[in-house]
Amino acid sequence: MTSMEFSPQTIDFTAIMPIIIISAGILVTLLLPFAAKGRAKIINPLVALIVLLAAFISSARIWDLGRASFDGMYTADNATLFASFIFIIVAFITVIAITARYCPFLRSPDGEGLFASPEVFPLMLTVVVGAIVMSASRNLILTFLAIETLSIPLYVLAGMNLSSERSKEASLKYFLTGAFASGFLAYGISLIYGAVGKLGYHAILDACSPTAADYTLYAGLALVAVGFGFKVALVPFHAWVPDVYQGSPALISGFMASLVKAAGFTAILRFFGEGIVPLYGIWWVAIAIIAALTMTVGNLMALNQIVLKRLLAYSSIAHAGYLLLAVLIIGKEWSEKGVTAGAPLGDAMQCAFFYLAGYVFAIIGSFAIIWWLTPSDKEGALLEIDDVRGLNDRHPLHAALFALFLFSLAGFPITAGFLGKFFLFASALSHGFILLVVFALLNAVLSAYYYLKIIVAMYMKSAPEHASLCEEPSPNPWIYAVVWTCTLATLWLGIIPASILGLLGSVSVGG
Amino acid sequence: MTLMDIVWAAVRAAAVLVVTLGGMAYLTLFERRVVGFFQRRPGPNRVGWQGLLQPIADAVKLLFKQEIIPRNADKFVYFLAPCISLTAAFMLFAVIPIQSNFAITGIDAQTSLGLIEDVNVGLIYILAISSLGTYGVILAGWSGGSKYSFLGGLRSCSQMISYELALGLAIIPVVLYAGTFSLNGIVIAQQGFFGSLLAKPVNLIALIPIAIAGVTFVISMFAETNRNPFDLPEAENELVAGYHTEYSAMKFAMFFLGEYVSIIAAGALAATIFLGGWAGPLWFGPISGIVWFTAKTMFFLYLFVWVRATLPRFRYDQLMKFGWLVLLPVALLNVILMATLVVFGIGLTPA
Amino acid sequence: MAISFEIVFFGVFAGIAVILAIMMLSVKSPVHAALCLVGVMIMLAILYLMLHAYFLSVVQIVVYAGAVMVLFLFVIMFFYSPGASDPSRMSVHFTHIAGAIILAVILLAVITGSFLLSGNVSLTEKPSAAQMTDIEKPIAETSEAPLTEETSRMIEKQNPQLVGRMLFTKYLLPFELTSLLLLAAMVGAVVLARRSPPAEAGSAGGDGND
Repeated sequence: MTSMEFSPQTIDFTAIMPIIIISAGILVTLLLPFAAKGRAKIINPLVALIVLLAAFISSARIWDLGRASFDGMYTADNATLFASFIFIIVAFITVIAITARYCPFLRSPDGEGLFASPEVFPLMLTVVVGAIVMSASRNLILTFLAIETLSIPLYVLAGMNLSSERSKEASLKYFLTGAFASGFLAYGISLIYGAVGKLGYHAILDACSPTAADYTLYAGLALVAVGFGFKVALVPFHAWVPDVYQGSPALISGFMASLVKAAGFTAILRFFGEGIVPLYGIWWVAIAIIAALTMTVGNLMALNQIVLKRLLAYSSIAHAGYLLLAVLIIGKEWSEKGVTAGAPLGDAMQCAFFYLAGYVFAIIGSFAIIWWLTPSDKEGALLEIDDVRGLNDRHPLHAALFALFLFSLAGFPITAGFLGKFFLFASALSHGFILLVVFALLNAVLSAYYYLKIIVAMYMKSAPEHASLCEEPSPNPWIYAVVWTCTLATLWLGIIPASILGLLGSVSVGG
Repeated sequence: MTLMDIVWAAVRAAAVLVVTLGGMAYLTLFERRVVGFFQRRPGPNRVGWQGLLQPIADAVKLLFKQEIIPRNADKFVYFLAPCISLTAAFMLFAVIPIQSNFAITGIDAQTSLGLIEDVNVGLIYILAISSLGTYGVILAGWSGGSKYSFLGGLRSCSQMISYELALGLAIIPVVLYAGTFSLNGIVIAQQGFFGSLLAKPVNLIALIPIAIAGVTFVISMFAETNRNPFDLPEAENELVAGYHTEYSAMKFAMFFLGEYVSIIAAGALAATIFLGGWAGPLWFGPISGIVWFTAKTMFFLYLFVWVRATLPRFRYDQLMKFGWLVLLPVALLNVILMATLVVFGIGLTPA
Repeated sequence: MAISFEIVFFGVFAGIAVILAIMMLSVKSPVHAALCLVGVMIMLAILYLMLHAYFLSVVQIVVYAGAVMVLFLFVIMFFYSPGASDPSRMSVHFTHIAGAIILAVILLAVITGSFLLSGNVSLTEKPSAAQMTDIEKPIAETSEAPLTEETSRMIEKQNPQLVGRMLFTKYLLPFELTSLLLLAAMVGAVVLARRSPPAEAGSAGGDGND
């Protein structure tokens, strides 16, 4: 690395334009509430939406260009950009849904959480910035800061339902475990820095040698892995998930379950794939065991849950387990071939991103439905399977859409979830992880049980005497938009996957 | 580092300690006489000629007073708090340049005779140590186990934290101008204003932000040292005696010492940062640096007493409002002003 | 190598730091624990000082001891009057000690092992260019020979400048991201600390028709 004299001209602004736009949006949405009153309040979510749209466009404009900025610390390669698309779409959907409960004149009588604070929008935008930087970062310091930028607003968003004790509890629990995880991460990073003297992924890649053992480095890597594990809720570090997802407002739970997982996995794939891939021979056993544990524990715990949100929380843990397969594949692939800049991302990234895209829409859709069905005098945190008995008789549309999302999560054909699992498992199989794939398949069958339990309750049981759901979920166009988007995306990815796969096929490692 | 170095450092430290303690003792007398003058009464004038032995009498009195320790006090912290107060105040002197080497040997203007060798973090060191001083106050308030002292401690702590921000920001324009955090470097950078020595021509526009910074700095220093008009922590008519209500005899004396030592330190700092420290327009041999330095410090000490004798005390909410809504924004804007001047090179000599 | 003052000082201050850290965990009163932590921070600052990282050392005191811990104490003091001890503090159990010892052994093994086993790191050797940290690099590059007496003196003199240059050039992006992070944290604190949701402007009243 030559020491280049730094000047503003050496910053590639097009590469970081999406985060600049969103950061500007954060400031605007933060200052607007003072001006906005009454009907004008809608300007807040509108600005947020416009900003997200602009960020989307500016990301799309640099597709395939493989831009990098800050000496390669920030890469806007296609992997980053695809991940950014997911984040931005997720945020877009969630902002639309929140708008319905934020603006007084749109406020429907149903739906959980009030979202009276206008700060919800800047906080969500901050999360998106954190997620994008997380996926783009190739430097541990930047990764660490991005994770914090993602997490801190989320702690607050989890506690956004100010009238609910559970929401406060969720916020506090999330904060404490998150802070703990950050501690692991920071300690790990400092050990790695002690061993390598650098923080860039490429420098770590150069310093990793499978022959000469450097135990400081190993300890550092292990601690960083633990930190990541907390963030995406892998199994020994998953205990916070059910409480947090249950307590937070359902829309925020969906936001967390989708966006944080996607961002976390993009960062993990990058770190394991571009940073410590030479040590694949050492870490693969650990990752394989954690993957097996994560899917199994997630699914087993989900079996007996009766609260819908808790059930989805455990199922999201199981999904993280499946996604770990992608980390193994990428490690195997690249440790054999070697990473070269500009090389196609290969199977692993394709599968992982396809899986993530499918998972994200299904989980957001599910949480949105739960949110929609919750009467405002009841907490969504308490909505049980029994409450949705006979949903089909009362609200056939809701039941049908909910069923579709659950099918996708379970991995039934014609949904995105099926193809996602199919590609992922097939790729893992072709890379020789036979035992793990068998394990994952068994788990998928196991998971079908509890997803179907909900569907059976909705379609084949009679409604409970005292209706605990909304009498008439309001025909609010904002929420329709959200649910239908998720539905279309789930079906589209499930039926015409080629369009996305074609896009992913051109995803390559940035130079 | 040899043994000699360590011994020499110890000797210098001891010298500064002794001089400061003496200065502190007579500062109390000075204050009482000057306040007396303002109030048209003589002040203490019985012990010794013009009351010159009064500080010694006070010291003896405090030493022999009965020591009362509250039963529900947290003993360890109760003992620790006055020590922190006094130590932090003394430690401020470590980086203040008292005399230039140039003045003595005539060769090296870059090094100075402070307590420790000149480092490029002097100003941040000052901030660090003055923030440690907060501990003495808040711990004293808490450990006595009484509500009055606790309230005094909390008040004082929030006051000090609030004004520390303005203090830090007041320093920035000077750093921007001088291009260094070293106090000696700052003195040298001011030569054009205050000394014939090594004088550089200076455009007077740069004086505007520096002057604003100086005013902000002095006001913040009043608050940091808990002096009038910001002496709320020990507002007698509200809180008995504030954070040191529960202290008596020598421990009380240590707070007293600490307060006056930090006043001297504040004066010395203001003199160094804004009035050119040891540099002076007139040059009369090796000791002239010390003389100028002392004279400038004395000016600020007089200012402290003068303000005390003149201004009434702020109300607590007024104090907070003034700190956050007036002083802080002014200091912040001033930083921006200075930064603009530096970037566009207006009013500054080329570095 | 003859025992120099530096090693003695290092031993003293590092030892005090460790003792204070242990005390922080074992003392009964939360205020004492917080004070021990302040002590650890200050000892760390002294260790930085001995590494000639003056700027870092002073900033360590300003930020941790001067700002963060004062606010900690502020809050703790509201809840505990002198003499009270925290009832929720765990009594030390055999398993805790055993766990701590095992962890300590593992960490020691890791650190000594990394020096002994990997063999490519040595305490006395000058770092090669590849091993040099980011902050050493520009200095080494300007002066060719790595870290002579003169360059290390330059590090001392220009400590804040070097840190500042790094922050505003190479690490500009993380630096700016931090500002975003702090902004979010501040907004979040305000949101969560607000007693009730802000009164509905525009007389909407919750019916949805205004």
